[in-house]
Amino acid sequence: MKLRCAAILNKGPLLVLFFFWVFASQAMARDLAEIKAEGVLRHLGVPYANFVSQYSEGNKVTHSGLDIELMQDFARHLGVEYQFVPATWRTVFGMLTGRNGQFINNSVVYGEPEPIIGDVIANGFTILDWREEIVAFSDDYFPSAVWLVARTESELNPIKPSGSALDDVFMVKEMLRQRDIIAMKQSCLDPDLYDLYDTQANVILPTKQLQLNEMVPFLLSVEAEATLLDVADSLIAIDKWPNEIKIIGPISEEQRMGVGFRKDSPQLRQAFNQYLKQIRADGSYNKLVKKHYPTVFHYYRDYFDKAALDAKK
Amino acid sequence: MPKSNMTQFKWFNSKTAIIIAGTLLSAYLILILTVTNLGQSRLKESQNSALNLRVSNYTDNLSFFIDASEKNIANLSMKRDVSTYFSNLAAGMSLQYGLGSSLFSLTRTIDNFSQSNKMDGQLVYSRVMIVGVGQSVIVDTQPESHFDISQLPFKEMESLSHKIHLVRGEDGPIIQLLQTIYHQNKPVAILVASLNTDLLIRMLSTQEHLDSGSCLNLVTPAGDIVVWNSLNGCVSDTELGTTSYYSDTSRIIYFEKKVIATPFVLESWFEPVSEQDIFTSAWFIAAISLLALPVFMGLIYLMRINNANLVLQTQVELSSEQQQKLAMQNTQLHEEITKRKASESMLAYQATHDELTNLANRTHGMARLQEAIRSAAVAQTQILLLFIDLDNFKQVNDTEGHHAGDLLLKQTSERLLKSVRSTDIVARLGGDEFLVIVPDIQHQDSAKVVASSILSVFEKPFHIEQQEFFVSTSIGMSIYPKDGDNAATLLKRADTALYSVKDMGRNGFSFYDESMNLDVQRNFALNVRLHQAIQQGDIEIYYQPILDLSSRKIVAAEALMRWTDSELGFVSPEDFIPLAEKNGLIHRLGDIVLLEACTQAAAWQAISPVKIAINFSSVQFRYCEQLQSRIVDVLLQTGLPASQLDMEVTESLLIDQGHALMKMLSYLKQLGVGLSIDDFGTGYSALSYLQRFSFTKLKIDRAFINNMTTCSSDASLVSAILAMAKSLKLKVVAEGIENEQQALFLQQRSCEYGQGYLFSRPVPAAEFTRLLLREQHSIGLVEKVEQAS
Repeated sequence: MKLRCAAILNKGPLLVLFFFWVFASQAMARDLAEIKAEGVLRHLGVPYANFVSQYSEGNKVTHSGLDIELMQDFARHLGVEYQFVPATWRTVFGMLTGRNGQFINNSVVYGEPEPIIGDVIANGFTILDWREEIVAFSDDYFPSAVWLVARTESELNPIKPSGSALDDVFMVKEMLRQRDIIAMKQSCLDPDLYDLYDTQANVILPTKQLQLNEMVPFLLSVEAEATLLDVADSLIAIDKWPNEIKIIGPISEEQRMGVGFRKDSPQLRQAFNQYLKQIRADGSYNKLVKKHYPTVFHYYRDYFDKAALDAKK
Repeated sequence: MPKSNMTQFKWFNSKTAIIIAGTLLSAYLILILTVTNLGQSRLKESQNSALNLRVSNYTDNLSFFIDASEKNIANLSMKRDVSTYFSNLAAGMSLQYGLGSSLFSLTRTIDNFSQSNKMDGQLVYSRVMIVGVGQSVIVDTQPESHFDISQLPFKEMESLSHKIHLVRGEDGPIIQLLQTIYHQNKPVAILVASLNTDLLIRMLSTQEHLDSGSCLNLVTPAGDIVVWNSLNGCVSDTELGTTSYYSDTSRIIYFEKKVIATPFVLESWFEPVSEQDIFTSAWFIAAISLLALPVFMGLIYLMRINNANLVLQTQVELSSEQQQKLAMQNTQLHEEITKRKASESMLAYQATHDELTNLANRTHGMARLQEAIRSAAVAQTQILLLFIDLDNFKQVNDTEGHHAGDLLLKQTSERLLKSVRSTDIVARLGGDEFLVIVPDIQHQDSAKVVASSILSVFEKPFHIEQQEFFVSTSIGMSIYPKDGDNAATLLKRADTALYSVKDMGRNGFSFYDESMNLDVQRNFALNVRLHQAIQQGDIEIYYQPILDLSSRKIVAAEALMRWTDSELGFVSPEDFIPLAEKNGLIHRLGDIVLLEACTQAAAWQAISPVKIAINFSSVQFRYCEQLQSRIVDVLLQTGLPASQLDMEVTESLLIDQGHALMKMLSYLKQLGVGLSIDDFGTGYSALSYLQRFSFTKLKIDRAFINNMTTCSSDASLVSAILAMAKSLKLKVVAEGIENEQQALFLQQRSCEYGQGYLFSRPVPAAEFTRLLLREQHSIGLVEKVEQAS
């Protein structure tokens, strides 16, 4: 499970990256010092699973979740005010770096410069190669993967774990031929990330931009057989819709999540990594995780135990 | 003290007080015992029902608890996590990809369920498991503990949704609630929830206390669960797994209650509270009863003391009663003695005193006199004895009645007592006779003073029944020792002196002298001789002619008694007639006169039609009817015409006029008997009677005639009498004409008749006959002369 997303990352032209960096560094020289000076940490978040949950009650929209609390604690750690800035998968990069970037045809396509609105992206933000072109990730703090979730009545049967993640991914991909599989661009469920077209699966992309937690309802509403879904949402889904969906097996190897920083905010990233190490060591991080993902330890106990152990070193 | 009070006092004494106290105490004790006993039985009843309720409460609670637990388990079996797990399992999901999460959730849910179901801090379920029908343990809250899956009734649970399953564990039976878990209506697993036995035990013994003996045993098919044991005799058999109460006492309270909807039975033994509670137990009653014993003993002892006391008291009471009785008797005796003394003295007084006047009576008076005589004999003094007699008492007594007479006597005695000294003795001898004894009289003059003072007492009138009476008195006196040396003599002599006063005309006093005694002796002799004279016919009748004054012819003869005794000589009628009136001989004398005079007159009728005038004493009229019939008889017997009889009565007769007398007089008048008033002018001369009685004549007393010619007042009186008689058409007879002068005087004043010595003395019958004959002869001569001439 030590495979990294970078393996499947499409390497963009260095020039573009250079320009982006120059532009960004010129336009947004906002690092830890500036944030501390200004006294506010702006947290950009796309609602996703229990990382950033959005509840709307009437006109009031509240946000909660693992990453919200993590960032609030971090802001408190820095001694600055905390501010949440909601975002979407399509806009979140521009709001952080001042120039949006999208993953199209296995390469990053940058948009026009725009004002920087936030200081960090934290919403179960999977570390992907193409994303590393745009942002700088902190140390990873949460494991993840993408699974194939099928309707219960589907002919697709859950695989029997072989003990090898790679073999299991292979087994799942083997079953996808001619199957209607839902995926979503620009997210961690992007079919290009997993070479879904290569499996000869009939990939269905929702015309409307969906939240990840809307994937299963979408699956249940259309004549599709299965959908890609990250682990966190899969676990929530099988609790939410038992008897209606089933998990077939992994589409990806294990992934990691991290906090995204502007590449010209190294001190801020440094500070966060320091902070993460600190809370992992004192156990408060695991408590925070358990609060929002009580079942995650059942799957990723090793990850969390090892990370805590490393942090203590 | 009154008898009723005494009995009341007796009734409430210490004995009755003790008896009442004893009764009250007994009642009190009985009440306490009854109430206690009642309270005990009530307590037992309520204890029984309370215990029953308690046990019921336990079983109900247990039943409810198991029921609720079953429901709880059933709810758990239908939880989302359960169904999710089994649906994911059924979907064929692998633990690695998805199912593990469901299992994790399921485990967490079961753990939560196990941990959250707590009661009083104790877990309700000691172990919760989910065992798949393929006998694989899916979830186990105590995975480290051994669990024998094979004992689960899988087969049975395929058809049962739930079951209370009992397993024999190391520490006794384990109660497992089984709940079949279905997935798409097929049993997929069994939810096994073992109930926490400690909790059950605690629940079933909430109301038990170590200090109250009780034993609770939950009987299950897998053996007994000893819930509570604080009772001696409740023994558990660990081998058999049973518990029971072993004791020979039957007092233990036992309940056996089935726990509804479970295979359990709750056995319970309770020690009765009353056995432990001294205040309400039989021991308490016994203690009270025992306590009562000394109290009763005390009461009995008190009774005994009181009885002894009572004997004394009774004796004292008896003796005091006797004393009182004796005192009463004594008092009565004293009273009786006093009464007797009083009555004796009364009798003595009555014996010695006159009832009416309270003066000493004759006997006493005489005794006193005798006493005085003895004293006087010693002291050489004189005693004056006054014999007092009221002069006209008889008259008062007869006219006004005896009551008036009595009153008069009383007043008289009062006056007498006032008039004498206190040392003098006044006694009533009887009737209107009183005796006054004056001891120590100096001489006769003093005696006169005494007598005068007594007489003067009677000068004032007596007032009796609104009438005024003048009563005079006569006093005869004798003096000791001059007139006698003993009481009888002195009295007799005083009486003699009294008679002399009476004879002298009353209202005066007289001393006794010897001559008086002679008079008395003569009177006595007269009395005797008069009797003899009457017997022997020595009383002669003399006749005095009554002449017609104008013709000087004899028209009548007045019959007059003459007695010449051989011893006493001639006795005047004035002497013996009052005597005869006193001794009753007057009736004989009157009869003699009447018969003889009438006989004589009848004989004389042949010679001349002379009338015969006979004097009648007023005493004779006391028996009017006899007198009347006698007169009629004599008239018939002698053949004298009634018209020839002339009855001469004194005025005094008419004073005592009564109805009988009136009737008699009018009868005789009718017969033709004449009626003359004798001695007119000497008596009371109440002239009114002249009108009432039809008198034919009245006779002027000789006293008026004697002095008529010499005394002008008498002449006037005679004239007046004659005039009055004329106007009343009465004939008048003048008595005692002694000379011609008198005769002429009367003749001139038209006095019809006259008698007296001038014409003739009273003469014997023979001589009177001669007088008549001579008169007739002279008449015959005259006639012859006349014829001759």
